[in-house]
Amino acid sequence: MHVIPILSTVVTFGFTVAVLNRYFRKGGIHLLLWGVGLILYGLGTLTEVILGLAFNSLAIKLWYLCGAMLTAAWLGQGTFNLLVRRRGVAMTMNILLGVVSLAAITLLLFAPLTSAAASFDIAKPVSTQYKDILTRNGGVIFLTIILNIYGTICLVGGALYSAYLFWRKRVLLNRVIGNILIAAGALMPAMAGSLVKAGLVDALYLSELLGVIIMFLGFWQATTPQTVSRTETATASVR
Amino acid sequence: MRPVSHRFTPSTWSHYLVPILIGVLTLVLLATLVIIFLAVAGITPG
Repeated sequence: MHVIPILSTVVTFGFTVAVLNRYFRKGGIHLLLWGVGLILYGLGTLTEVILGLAFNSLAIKLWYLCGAMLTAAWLGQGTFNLLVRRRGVAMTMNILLGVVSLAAITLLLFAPLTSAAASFDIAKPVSTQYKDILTRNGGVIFLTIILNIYGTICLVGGALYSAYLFWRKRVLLNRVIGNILIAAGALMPAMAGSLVKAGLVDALYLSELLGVIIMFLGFWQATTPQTVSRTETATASVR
Repeated sequence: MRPVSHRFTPSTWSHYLVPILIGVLTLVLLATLVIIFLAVAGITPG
């Protein structure tokens, strides 16, 4: 049994509750999309827990679908909706992501497993074994790459761009810090996932845990109302 | 009632640290994308 995915799952679902709670209080499609992205993140780490107990063919497909294909894209789509104010553009991309996600689900559900599934070792991370077990056709690989690149650019690039804008205008320091933390946290599993795809270092489980903790801290920092000191208020009233 | 200002004046350390962090994270983002492209191109071991 792997302890790190258990911790990641607990933190991720806690983060999901915080995001969806804010969505139900304040609205905003970006929060809903982040919530969906976090549910996918949590399902990915939950399947790592399951696969640490016993092999299950649906679990390994769900792990790949959530962890490798959809999570980054849905989280990134939330940021896209936050930054792109032209409603038609954002909505079109939302529909497109929905269609692509359905295609990914269909392709993965019908993807056959190899005979290597019989020798799956529950003591080893699934990230070190999935390539031998899961048959990924050209369509699956293509969608994985496209969804990951799109999601990472939107999520990390969007957070960095937001941090830069707040910094340049010298407003809302908490959002500068929060967005930097979100970018740093999102980069961890993105970088680790890329290294796994490239067949290099495998630190995926740890990166998922650290990534979600740092993103949660960033979200908390960015959404906590700033206390304004008397000096700042006095300065502002002079301007 | 006057609107509350959310403006801030960066401290000496944050004046340098924040731009450096944004720059470094941007470079890591680019590195991640490069690794994905290299993996797609089949240049990496995986």
